[in-house]
Order: sequence, then structure tokens, then C-alpha cells
Amino acid sequence: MGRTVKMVSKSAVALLIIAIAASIYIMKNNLGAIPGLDFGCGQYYYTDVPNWQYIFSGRGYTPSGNILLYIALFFLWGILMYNVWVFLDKSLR
Amino acid sequence: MRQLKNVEQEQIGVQKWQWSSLYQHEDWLAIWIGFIIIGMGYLSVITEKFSWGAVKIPKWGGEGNVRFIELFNLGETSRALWTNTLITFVIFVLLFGIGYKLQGGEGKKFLKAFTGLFILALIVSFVSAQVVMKKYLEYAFWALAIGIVISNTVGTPNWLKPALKTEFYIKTGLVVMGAEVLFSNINKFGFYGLGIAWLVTPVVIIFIWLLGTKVLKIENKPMVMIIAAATSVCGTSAAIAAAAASKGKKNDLSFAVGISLIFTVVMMVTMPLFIKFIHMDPLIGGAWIGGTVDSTGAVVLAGEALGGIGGQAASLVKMIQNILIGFIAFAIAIFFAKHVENNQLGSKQVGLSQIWISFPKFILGFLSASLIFSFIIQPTYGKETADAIISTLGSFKTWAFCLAFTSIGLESNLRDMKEQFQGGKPVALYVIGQTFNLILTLFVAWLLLSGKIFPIPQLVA
Repeated sequence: MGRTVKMVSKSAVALLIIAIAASIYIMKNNLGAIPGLDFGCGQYYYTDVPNWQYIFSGRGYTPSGNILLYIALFFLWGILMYNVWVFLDKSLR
Repeated sequence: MRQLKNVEQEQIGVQKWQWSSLYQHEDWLAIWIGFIIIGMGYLSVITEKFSWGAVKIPKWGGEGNVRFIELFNLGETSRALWTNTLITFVIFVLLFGIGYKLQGGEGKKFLKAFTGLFILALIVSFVSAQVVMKKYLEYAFWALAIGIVISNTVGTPNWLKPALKTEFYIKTGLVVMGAEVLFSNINKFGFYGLGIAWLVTPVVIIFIWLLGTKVLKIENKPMVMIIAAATSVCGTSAAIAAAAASKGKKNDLSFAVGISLIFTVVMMVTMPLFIKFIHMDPLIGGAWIGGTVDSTGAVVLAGEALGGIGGQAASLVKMIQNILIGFIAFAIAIFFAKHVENNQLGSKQVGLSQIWISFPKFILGFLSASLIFSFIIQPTYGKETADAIISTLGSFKTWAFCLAFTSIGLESNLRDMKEQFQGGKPVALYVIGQTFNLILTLFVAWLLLSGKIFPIPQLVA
């Protein structure tokens, strides 16, 4: 197990080094850019994105169903997952 | 004893409860300062009597942007910039200075130190406003980099240290950010969005937690939590919230943000290429990007690379993921207060009072701001007004986080960071966790959007 973890960790570090090199190449060559969209990874949260009011307005989709149903589902799944998290954390060693 | 004190200073938010905490302790002061900023934003939009917002350094370099020299030549752009910079400095030095004084600090020392920190944060803002840097990295990377270079070369001067109140700035920024977390967006993409964003996210968090703590045996649990939140929710913003909620160390946050930024740059470019290469439906591809790429800006850009439908799907899914931050931070705070910290103290039965003592109170301000804007401001004044208020707050949040990341850099020691690297275990955690996230999100996106089981949603590009 210890040897596997070491091997996996070393492979992950190698991948990180490749990712650093790739990201420098991407930035140097301005890859991934789209004309008219002047933002990217540097805009961490949705309100950091220029013109966010329009982009995230949900203009492309008209949702159906009551919002209370969504809220109920949200909390049911959240509470269930929290309990699963606690259970697995205690049970597994 | 000294070691214990050092550990507490390193952690993002440890304090004991007393009623005087309401006006003396960092968490509560962060709430009050956050709400003063939010309240001023609200008043400026509702009354239209004054403008409210922190300075934003204009993007410079490249075609169509101001030239670097124009920021300093006392022309129109330059004068407006420096006036706003001065106003921003005065607002922050007053708010944080009063907060510092109420915590028992010495006002004069803070003024001198904060001026130095603000100048450094301003340099960070100038560097990250360069056209390429703004698009790909922004302030967090440069704040950490510049801070680390100073602290590990010439050393952080002692006179600057009173202003290095990382937790204070983070918590205040998070309370302000709470206003932007609109829960009412939960139905933006109907059951499809809720399914892709919310079914997957907690499962990925649990997976990364178990992988980190049980398989890779990483002892630094807050670091595992921060990486889990950054991977499964929305990168830097989620990492900041998780660090504060789990009382993580500053280096943990630096590490998670750094690794998330690097992989986000790569994923933003490679995922649309891969999706096009295998001829994946842009609707599924966009939703996949929305659920997996960490930074929101990168999600929109990568989604749009697939076309209008892909861009819509990506931004809708990410929008829902963005609202999860508050609740996930709340769950993390409860989990750590109940099952991690009190377990470490050897408590068998954890009472409500113990949970309350360990609970990072600023989360209440974060959630309150979110709920007030979601269920009072937006329904009462309408979406446009709520959006206008939120727009005034973004620059304050950015400055608070920029001050925090610069402080983290200035307090970082490369030797400590190397120790925390633990032979690459945290990198392995991120890579395996992100791979699991990619597979699970793709499966759920396909399940919901392929038309095999559920009807395909009608998106307009």
C-alpha cells in the first residue's frame, strides 16, 4: 500500500510539472481565447466575469416546476449526504 | 505552550466564545464590517445619492486597452484611478483599523503596517491587470508569488506584521461575497442543473475526503477539505470558504489555490478540444465543463468554445455550483466542529455548546447575507436592483481577498511548504479527485441530457 501511494504521488507530481509547462505555453500563446469574450481562469467567481448579469441570467432556459420543490430536494440530498459522510468517516479506517 | 500558540496563529479562525466576542473578536467584527460594506452598497443603489465601490485597476497592455504609462501620467484615467485608490485605502484602513483596535491592537502600528500591505496589494493588482495575467491568473497567484518572494528573500519586516491579518480579511471578504450567493438561482436549469451540480458535488467531496484521510493518510485534514472543496465546487472561491470553515492553515490554502489555478488553465483549453474531437453533444459537453472546471470565468470561456448551447449549459450548471459554497462551508464548519476538532480533544459526547465554541461564527454572516439577498432584496426590489447592488460589492470582496493572499504570501516559509508537500500526496489527492469528478459528472450529464431516459431540455443559444 505504501509503495503504491508513493508511486501514485510521484506520478501526480510528474503530471503537475507537465501541467505547469502546459499552462505557461497556453498563456504565452494566448490559447483558449474567444474573440469578444475578454476573460478566463482569472475570473474565479461568477460576479468577477464581465457582463455577468447577462451571461448568468439563464436566458437560454425556462425552468418548470416550483422552486420550493427544488429547495426541498436540495436540502434532502444535502442532509442525506452529510450523514453518509459522517457514517463513512466513522466506519472506515 | 508557545508551539500551541503558534498553531493557533497559523489557523484560519480559532477563538473561544464570550459575549464580548460580539465587538471584540474577529469573526463578529468581520460580520459587522461585511454588513457595513453591503449596507453602503444597498444605500448607494437605492438612494442613487453616491457611488460605492473599491478601485478597479484597468486592464492594461494589448490592443484596445490602456497603456501601462497611462496609469501614471496624470491623465484622465490616471487621475480617476488614483483618486479611487485613495478612497479605497481610506475605507479599508478605517474599517479594518477600527476592527484591529477593538481586538486590542495598537492603532498607529496598524496604520503604518496596513499602508505597507495596501501598497503591496496595489502592486499585485497592477501586475494582475496586465492583459494576459488578468485572463489566466489574476490576483491570487500574484499576491502569493510576490509575498512568498519577499518573505523568503529579504524577509517580511516586523513593522508590516501587525497588518498581516489574513483571517480577518478572508472572513470579511466572505461575508461580502455572501450577498452574491443567490440561492434563488437554484432552479435556473431545472432538475438538470440541480442533478448535475448538486448530485455530484457532495459525492466528490466525500470521495476526496475518504481518499485523503483513509487511503493516502494525509494527517492535515483541513488541507484535504480545502482540496475537496476547490475540486468539487468552484476553485479559489470555494477553497477560501473551506479554509475558513475548517480553520485550515495558510499554506494549505496557498497550495490548493495554486494547484487549482494551474490545472484550470490546462482544462479550460483541453476540455473543449477533447469534446469536439470525440464529437460529444455540446449540451452534454457544456454541462460537463460546468460541473468540473474550477474557475467560473474559465467555465464560460470553455463552454462558449463549444458554441452557444455548450456555453449556456456550462454557465447554467456553474451558476448552480456557485450557490453551493455557503451551504458547503456551513456543513464543513459543523463537521469539523463536531467530528474533527472535538475528536482531537478526545471528547466522546459533543454538546451543542462545544460545537458553538468551535463553530466559525462568520459563516453565519456569510449565510445571512446570502439569504437576505436571495429571499428579501431580490424579491422586494427585483433582479436588476439586486444585481446592481451586488455589482458594487464585488470590488470590495476582491480587495479583501487580495489583502489576504498577499498576507499569506508574506507569512509563507518555503521550508514549511516543502514539509507539507508530503512526497506529493496532496497533488495525488487533487489529481485522483479531479479524475473522479470528471468521470462522475460526465456520467450524470449523459444520464440527464442524452435523451435516453429524460427529455432533452430545450436550450436557446
